[in-house]
Amino acid sequence: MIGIDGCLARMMAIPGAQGVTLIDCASGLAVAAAGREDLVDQHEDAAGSTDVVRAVLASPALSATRTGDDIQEIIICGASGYHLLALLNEDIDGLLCVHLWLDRDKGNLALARMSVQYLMREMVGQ
Amino acid sequence: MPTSIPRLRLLERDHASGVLQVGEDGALELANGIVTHAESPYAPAPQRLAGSPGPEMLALIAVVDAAYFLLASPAEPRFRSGDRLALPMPPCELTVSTLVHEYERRRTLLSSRWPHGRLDHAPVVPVRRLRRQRVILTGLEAEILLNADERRTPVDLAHHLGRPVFACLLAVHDLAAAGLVETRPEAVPAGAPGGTYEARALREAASVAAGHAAGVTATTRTVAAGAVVAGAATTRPVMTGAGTTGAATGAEPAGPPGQTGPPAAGEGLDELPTRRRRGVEVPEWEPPDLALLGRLRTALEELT
Repeated sequence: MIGIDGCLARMMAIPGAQGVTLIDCASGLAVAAAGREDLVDQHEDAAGSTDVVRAVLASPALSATRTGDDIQEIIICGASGYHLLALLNEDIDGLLCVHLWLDRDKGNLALARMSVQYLMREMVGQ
Repeated sequence: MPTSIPRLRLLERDHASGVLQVGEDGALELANGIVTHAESPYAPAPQRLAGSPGPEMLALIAVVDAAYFLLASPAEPRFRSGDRLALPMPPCELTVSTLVHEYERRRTLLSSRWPHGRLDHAPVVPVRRLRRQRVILTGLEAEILLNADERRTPVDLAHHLGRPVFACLLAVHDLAAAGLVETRPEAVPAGAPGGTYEARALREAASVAAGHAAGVTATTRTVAAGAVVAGAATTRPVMTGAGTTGAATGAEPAGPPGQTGPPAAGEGLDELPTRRRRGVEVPEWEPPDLALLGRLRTALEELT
């Protein structure tokens, strides 16, 4: 099991990573952050990302089952960058989420998704 | 008025170390002007929080959760320099400005969801009937509805479920906005539990309500009532004003004869107790299904 800061440091080592924030989506609290904060600081980041997660969870249109899917990731592809919102809710009460911001040219979305999933499980010791 | 925030800012400036006791609402521990621990009887302690996302993270979540009540407390804070809180959790490091920022964000968030102060302190009462085909809930919202027994307040539910209080408050506000829990104002119970935060808040809510009833803030009242009706209209049909009443009478009587429409948001306080006092058994008013009435009218028009 790695600590929070160790986990965020390893996420920042993912190719193209610009910034990463660990968010408690139950409250919108930024638990920890690393990397760039020049566009938004970690608190704005946490609040904005939480809004997106909650909107997706509340929307029947974004579910694949009648009872509501468990959302694992939300991906935003911009012309200049990717945003990966990875939710960790398996066996965990409450809702933790990692927001990883990737540079579009340097980043590899598939690699980042796998790395983030792996590191999040490491962090909570699963 | 909350006095903890200016006091904390001074302690931060002085790089103070010690414990800031905020009446009976809890205490904050500082080390060199940085907040390291916080506890409040209203917020579940970190070891009581469900789940296992690491003690480090739980400690932080619990500290910010407790701070929400400490910073809102009107109690006069007392600082014990050099003292420590005996807590089993690892310390976290939060600057005072971060904590204040988070506190203000949370307050704004709650009031933006469903501006109804009583929701925070009154027992959570799920609505009896839904006029909807389908409802989507988050896990926590479902837990709240399943465990609400019409006596537990959001704080009680947070302790019962082992959840941060703020998450529960937010869920209750969202449930109210979705029309799933009662938001009708009720009389303030004589022996309010706790005697501190809740009782005080209930008294405040009651005095605000009294001010409104007396017509002191007539403008605010109109605005507030409008907001409540507008919010309710998005979740279930509610008849208000002459326009909708006319539309309804064009089709079918909406309810038993002699029964008027629903109490408007501001009048709910007076309407129901009066009916009970008369000792007449009046069936509880159910909002008419406007869509159904509309279809009926169309059908009747086609027949003629």
